[in-house]
Amino acid sequence: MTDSLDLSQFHETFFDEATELLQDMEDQLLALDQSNPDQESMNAIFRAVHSIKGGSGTFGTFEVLTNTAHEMETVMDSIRKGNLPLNDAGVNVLLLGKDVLGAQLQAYRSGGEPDRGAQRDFLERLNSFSESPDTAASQGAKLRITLDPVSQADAKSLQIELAILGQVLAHHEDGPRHQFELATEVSREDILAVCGFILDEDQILIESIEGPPAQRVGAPSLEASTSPAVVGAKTKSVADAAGAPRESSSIRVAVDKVDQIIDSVGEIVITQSMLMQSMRELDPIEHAGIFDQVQRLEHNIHTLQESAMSMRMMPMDYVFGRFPRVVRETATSLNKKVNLVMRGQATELDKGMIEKLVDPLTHLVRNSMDHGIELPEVRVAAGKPQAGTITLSAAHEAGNIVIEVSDDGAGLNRDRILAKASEKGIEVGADACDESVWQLIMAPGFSTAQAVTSISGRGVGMDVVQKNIQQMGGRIGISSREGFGSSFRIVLPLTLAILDGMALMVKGQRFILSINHIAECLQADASMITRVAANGQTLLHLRDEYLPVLDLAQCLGLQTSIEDCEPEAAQTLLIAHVERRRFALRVQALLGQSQVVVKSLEAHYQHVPYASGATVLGDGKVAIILNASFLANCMGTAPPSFVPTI
Amino acid sequence: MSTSEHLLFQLCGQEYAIDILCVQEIRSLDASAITALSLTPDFMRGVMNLRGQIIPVIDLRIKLGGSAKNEAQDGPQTVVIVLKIGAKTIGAIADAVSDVQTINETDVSPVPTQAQTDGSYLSGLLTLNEQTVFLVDITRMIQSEDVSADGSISQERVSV
Repeated sequence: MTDSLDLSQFHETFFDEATELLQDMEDQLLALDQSNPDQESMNAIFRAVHSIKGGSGTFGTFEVLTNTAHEMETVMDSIRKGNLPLNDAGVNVLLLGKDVLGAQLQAYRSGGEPDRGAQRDFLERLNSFSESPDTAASQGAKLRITLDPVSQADAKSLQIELAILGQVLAHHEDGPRHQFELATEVSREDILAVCGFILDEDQILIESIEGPPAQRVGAPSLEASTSPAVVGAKTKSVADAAGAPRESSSIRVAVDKVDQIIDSVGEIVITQSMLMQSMRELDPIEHAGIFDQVQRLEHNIHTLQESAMSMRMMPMDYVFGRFPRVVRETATSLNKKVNLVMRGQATELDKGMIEKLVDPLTHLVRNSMDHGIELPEVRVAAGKPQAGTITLSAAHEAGNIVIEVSDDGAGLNRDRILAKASEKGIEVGADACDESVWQLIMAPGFSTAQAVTSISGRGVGMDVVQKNIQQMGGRIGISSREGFGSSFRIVLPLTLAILDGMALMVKGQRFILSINHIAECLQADASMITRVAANGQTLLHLRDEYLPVLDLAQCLGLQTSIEDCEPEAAQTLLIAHVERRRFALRVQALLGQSQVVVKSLEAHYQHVPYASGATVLGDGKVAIILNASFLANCMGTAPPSFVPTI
Repeated sequence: MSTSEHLLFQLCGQEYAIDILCVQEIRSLDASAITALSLTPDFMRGVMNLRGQIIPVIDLRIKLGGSAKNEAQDGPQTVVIVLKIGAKTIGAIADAVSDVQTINETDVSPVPTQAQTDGSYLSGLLTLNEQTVFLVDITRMIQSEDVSADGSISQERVSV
């Protein structure tokens, strides 16, 4: 027997809670009004770090985490008590701390040891923030800098200089006399030295301001600050106004357990439909009672299935929650002013999909900030407000979820895209509709950015975004108006676990193909089919198009040679569009459309190239869900034709 | 001296034994419940639905017994042994299950090197009731790449 209580069983709970606390802390930090910090949020941030420290201390095995949290706690306590200023540098160092703690948690969680180098670096930064004499000096000494006399142009450039040194809290102008209030970490000598480039020393008066900062540092001065160099991202959350309650009445359940319930419910549904099939042999009048009860059962099972599926649903907040920070940081590095507006954070989506949405959405948002939103000067010149707005919204629409990323920036430039397309050898008619021109930006290697930046412009992004979205069974649409902004609209099915599929039969085997990839189904007679003698490839002449015909049986290796499929007989064909390719798929028969529960083949077996999963049909047997990309690849490496996906 | 319980089963008239701790259940074979997977090795019979889980079914008569694909005949005795190995559940077809026996480790003799081939996964042999029984290292066989690749391989999207 062990003499001490085994605490390792609680590790997972601690990790989950700590991760949540860190996210909470980040939200609070970003929402914090630095000039007038709300005591309640300061306490909340402090408590988050304190709880992590306490929790990790209890286990005694997460020494690095405990130490880091302890150091942060010390600094935050000083901030909370007003002994240290809370400025941009402070928020940044605390945000960095959140990342470091997160990385350490992750390391411990995966059974490793956290990176002590990263911890050391962070602690150094933390120390330099808390111990720097400038910081200490500036805490009671916000500076008032009076410049007299100074020309309008010089004042402007000095304001930019001062904004680099610290935070310009206010700016008063009185003829040639300009007065700035500056919260800064640099010494007076440095300010003198900087201003000395333009002015003589006797034109400059620097005095410290006494008294509690809150008196002078009013919110209006921050808002009204016209300095173009003060870059910041302000976040306002429309839906949060109501103050959505944060999971106070919830329990934590392992995803496995939820999936197990969903599996079992799926089984019940199948058993139910088998029961219904067997009941067809019964006389409905003689066994009216049974029929009645089975019908009630069906209704209950349906309700049960819905609530089981809803357990996997998570609010979009999970993804949206990270954007205030992404926007803040990107705006800073781009010298742009951006407001982020988020709508519909409470919209729910399957957990598996929410996680996969993070990367594409991050890319779209950064893209909009880099290419869409213009620099403040350009915006003002165009008669727009200085700060751009990026709107993230999520909503349910007819069994789908629609996520939109829109900006009020420059919009897409049709001419530049068309020019780029011809440069890349992509053929587009000059009179192509806007929608199909916009779709071009999602072609691999396509980028119209004049310069490659660290944020975007490499042209690897948009095609990956589109691929990711398509893998989730969704599609992405673009609308844009030059000068007014662009909007990227992602439409996704509500869950990955259920797929709208077409059941089809090949060589006596049943397969499912996602409806998303099927444009139409038709019976083709011999007159519509042409065979190319040279390579045996058959073509379907459909309206104005010639489409290659792919034999599904051959593609899946169910049939080794091309049998002559009685060219006289009508053939059942599906027109599929996959990754910009359109082709006809020959099948034996179509069995009808149905919703199927997607199950993994990889859970117990391995990846099968032509399958994207499998499902259990109404009779309890397994059908393979076809991987549309595999079929498209079966067509050979023909150059993709630019027919916009629908 | 250690003993362990083994499940004895027949493949093409030959007795084999596997550790019973790997066995989750034994079901009679319903060939119509198995969906074939094309473009997979011969021993891969297909996939079946086991209470909502989709599990692969391998044919041990081909994998271990050396039968050709058409040789292995299903009969009323044919069974699916459901194996639970790590997180994976796998069905394995055998001609019949015969017994559960406690096997004494000292009774097991090593497989002569001449009888060992790459794909046999035999870990020893012994005589029980005047019959030769092959001990199969079923865990090694299931974890071998051709039966079940690990996550690293399966996650890689194969594009042809």
